[in-house]
Amino acid sequence: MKSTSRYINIAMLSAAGSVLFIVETLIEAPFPWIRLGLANIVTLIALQWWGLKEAFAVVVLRVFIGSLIIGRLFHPVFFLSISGSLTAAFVMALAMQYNEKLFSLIGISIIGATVKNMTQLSVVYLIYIRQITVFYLIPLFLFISIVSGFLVGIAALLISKSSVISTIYRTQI
Amino acid sequence: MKRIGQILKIGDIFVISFISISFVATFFIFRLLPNKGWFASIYVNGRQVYHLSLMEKKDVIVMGAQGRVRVRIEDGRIWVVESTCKQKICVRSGKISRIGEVIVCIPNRVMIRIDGKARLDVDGVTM
Repeated sequence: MKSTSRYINIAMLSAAGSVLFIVETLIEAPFPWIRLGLANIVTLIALQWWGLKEAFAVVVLRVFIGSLIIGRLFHPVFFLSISGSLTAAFVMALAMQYNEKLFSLIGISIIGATVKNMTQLSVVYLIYIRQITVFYLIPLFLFISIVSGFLVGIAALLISKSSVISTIYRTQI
Repeated sequence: MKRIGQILKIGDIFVISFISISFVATFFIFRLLPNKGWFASIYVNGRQVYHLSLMEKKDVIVMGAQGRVRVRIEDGRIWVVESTCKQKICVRSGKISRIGEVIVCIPNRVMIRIDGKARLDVDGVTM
């Protein structure tokens, strides 16, 4: 990929990710810790189309811009988002090597959601609430991971297969 | 749109079942294992008359409003062996060991309760 079009594509995907990130904070969850992780769609697509480096760029940009706009830059939630999203991107990149052969995007998305939630739980434990009781939330988080990972995976699958979006994003400039 | 069964690969099914199994396993482990209490209190008429460790093995006789209530502690559990009340609801309540569990004998005004803080003392976690 030529470098200009590469930057533009990363920027466009980051913008889409920021929007998803912001929209998601507007949705009032029944419990504060239940979130769909819609922004993971963007990470998945970046991994699917390009690779780990680009996905990392998209994740970092998306979390920074999204947090800045909702006014939570360097808020505890910001650190949870960025640590969770980066580890999830890393593990999903490992799983992505077996894409189409062993996993579909749905499976990779579920892996990513689980890794993200577990990372966030560990970060909460290490930095914020140093009590072992935090880990009683593991069953709840595993359950959320399956559901949200599945939904996000389906969305990513549809979007990455969509020829229109593909053409818009991957046009060489 | 193809059917979902055609999209899912063998690895997906493996991942989903693995995480589901971990979910069920951790759910039951956390429910059953760690919230055992270490102490029990016995109240008569709302006043605490005993504070006992569940780790010992002993019988306690509590004087209730109508008569004696025999309480036994063994293997970290506490239960009412016999009571002078009519309906014996307290005896049929069985053995308790987890934080917050209670046995009540209304006629005798006796209440047995496992002490301890509630299991989850996190106010909330957000991401």
